[in-house]
Amino acid sequence: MSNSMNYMNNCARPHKKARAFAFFLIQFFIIGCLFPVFAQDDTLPLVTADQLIDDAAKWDGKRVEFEGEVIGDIMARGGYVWINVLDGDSAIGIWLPKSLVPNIRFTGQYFAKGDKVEIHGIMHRACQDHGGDLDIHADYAAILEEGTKVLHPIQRDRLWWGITLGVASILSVGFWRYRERQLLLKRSRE
Amino acid sequence: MRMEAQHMRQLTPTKKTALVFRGVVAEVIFSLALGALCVLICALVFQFKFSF
Amino acid sequence: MRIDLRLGLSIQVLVLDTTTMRDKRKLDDLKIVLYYSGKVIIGEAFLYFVPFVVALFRGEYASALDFIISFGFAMTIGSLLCTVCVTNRKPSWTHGMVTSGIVWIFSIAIFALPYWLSGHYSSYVDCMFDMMSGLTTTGLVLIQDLDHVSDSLNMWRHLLTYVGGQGIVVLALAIFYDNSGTGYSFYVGEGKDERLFPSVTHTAKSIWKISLLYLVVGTVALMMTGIFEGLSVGRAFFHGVWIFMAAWSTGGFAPMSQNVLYYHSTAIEAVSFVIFIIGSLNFALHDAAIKGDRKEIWRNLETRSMITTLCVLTFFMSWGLQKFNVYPSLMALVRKGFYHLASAHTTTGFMTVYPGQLAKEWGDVALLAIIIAQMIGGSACSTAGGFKGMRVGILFKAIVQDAKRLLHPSNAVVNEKYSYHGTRTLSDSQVHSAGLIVLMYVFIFAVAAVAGCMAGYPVIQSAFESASATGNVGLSTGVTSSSMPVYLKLIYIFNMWAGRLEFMAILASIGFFGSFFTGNKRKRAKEASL
Repeated sequence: MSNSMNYMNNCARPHKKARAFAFFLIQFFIIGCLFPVFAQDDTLPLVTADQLIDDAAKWDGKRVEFEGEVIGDIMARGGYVWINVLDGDSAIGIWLPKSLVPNIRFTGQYFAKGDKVEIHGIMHRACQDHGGDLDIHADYAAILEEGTKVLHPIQRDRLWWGITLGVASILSVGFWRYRERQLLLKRSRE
Repeated sequence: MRMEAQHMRQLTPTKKTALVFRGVVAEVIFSLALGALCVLICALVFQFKFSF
Repeated sequence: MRIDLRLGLSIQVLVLDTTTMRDKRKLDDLKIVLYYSGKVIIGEAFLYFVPFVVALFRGEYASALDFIISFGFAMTIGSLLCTVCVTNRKPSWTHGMVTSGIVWIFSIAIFALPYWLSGHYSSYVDCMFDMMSGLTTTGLVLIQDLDHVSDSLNMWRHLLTYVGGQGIVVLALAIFYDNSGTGYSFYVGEGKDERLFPSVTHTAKSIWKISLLYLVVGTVALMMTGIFEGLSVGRAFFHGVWIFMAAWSTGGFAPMSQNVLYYHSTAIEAVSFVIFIIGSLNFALHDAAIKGDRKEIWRNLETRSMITTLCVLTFFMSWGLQKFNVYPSLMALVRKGFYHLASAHTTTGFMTVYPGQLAKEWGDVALLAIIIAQMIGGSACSTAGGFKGMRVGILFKAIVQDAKRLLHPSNAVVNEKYSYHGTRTLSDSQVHSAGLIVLMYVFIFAVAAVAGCMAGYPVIQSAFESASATGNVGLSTGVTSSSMPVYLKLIYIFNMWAGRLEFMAILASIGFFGSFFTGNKRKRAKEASL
């Protein structure tokens, strides 16, 4: 009896091992499949704005990586947001959920260089959801480089030009009015 | 009928404002109607996919 | 012999005196032209006050200083012109025409200084190009890094289109002119001929009142829409003002490099559409509408002409886009296709696609529809460009009239009538004038298109860009850029100028300055023969 029990236990152990191994394989497979969704994907093609515009049909519907400076406004529309990202040549509109918007400190304008962001998402040549706009529906956004304030100090030589031309304009206007009065007086005497 | 200048001067400010407002609204309606007509043409072309 | 010699000498002195007198008159004429040009420049210089205040308000002190420098420069030049050429002679019709023509050249040379000082341009020619584009309400741009431009410079850019749409000379008339009869020539020289009131100063003021009324209404509408679409209040206000100015003046400038595409908003596109359609209407029509004659909007030959051409071109544009399946949904077809066609027909130039997409995706039929729309343009005496729907209507009526005349006995009197603030009879002189203007437009369009081809651009793109510059539209397929050859930039500058002023002031200016050289040639020939 105990021999048969031992025999049965011995037979069950390989099955358990096989089951455990299979279970581990399945978990590994599932995680492996899901991994690209959660992690940074190094195989996405990095495109420029000019490439997207000039070869829009080629990139239409494809998942791409796009980098550039966030400019202007972050426009909230319900649970989503529009940002425009400039890569030096042109700016592309990026549509992404509010939850994915990174902590953007600076957007490009006169007094600031905007944060540089990396976007992953599906490019649309003529987006059906957005009235035919060329845009990227992003599913990943991260800040690559923080933006900075841009100062525009007053230049000394320009200050001198301002003063000089200001004085010159006052003198010329004064001289003009004087000449006109002289002409009027001369005509009235005639 | 268009108001002559002297009739305009005889109107009260409220009536003048109302007249101007109606004029602006008329122009807005014109532009929207024109837009709607052209959208209809786009819809017809899109729907029936005319080919020559 | 002695009598002959004295007679000969007398004749010689008389001829020389007459020639000298003629030269003296020409110099006097030049003085009058330059004097009034100086006055307009002084008037225009006060426009700097607006961006200066914006610069102070936004803390853009370096930009504020640039405007002070530019103001000083313009005032000095204007005052010097007035001082050197001081006169109290009244201008004649010719003086008015020539002044209206050349003051635009002075303006682009003098008032481009803020652009140059901003550092956003690669050359002064580019600055002058953008100045002409703004003043003529074209909208083609060579500015670089527009997204990082100061708010004050953006205000200057958009203010130029707003003022240019009404007319810079009209502005000066409204403020400075002393209301004598020859003021009408200044007014007509800027491509306007509708006299809303007997007094041209009153007409100019009335045009400005209408524009300011719509400025308030339109800015509020765009600002509310902007806030709704996610802009902050401050940004919505400034963008509202700028987009209104560009839409009303059918200028097409926008504060961001993506133009109206930046907003990704159906609502903003819809509001801007309403504004630019209204902006393309005749000022006389606005005057009639706000004074109670609202039915004129529908009866008017110009609006009927625009409705007809817009509908026909919408059909061809839609068909062309549909053929290549460019836009898979009706909404996209309307928001992209129709919006651009309307933008072209009113000569606004707002874009919601990239220039490269127009060139590569739209196909020839859709692009041709846009080119034709650009050439036709909007209404006369409006902010719109092109050779005007009115002339299309007149030429069409002329064809109908001639066809009827052929079908009737030769002694029958056949006259076509049309509705234009009352019923009017079509005259041969109107047809002649309309035909000539259209011919001149087509001529300069062809010259610029050929120049574009010679620069290496494809035919359809060259034609598109040429129509855009000539019709003062502003849509682009990517040809207009700072890397364009300089000669092409200069040709486009000329076309924008000629298209805006409808040739009269240009021809008057060429004739006026040309007479200096032909006059001298005649003088030298006479001296040589004596």
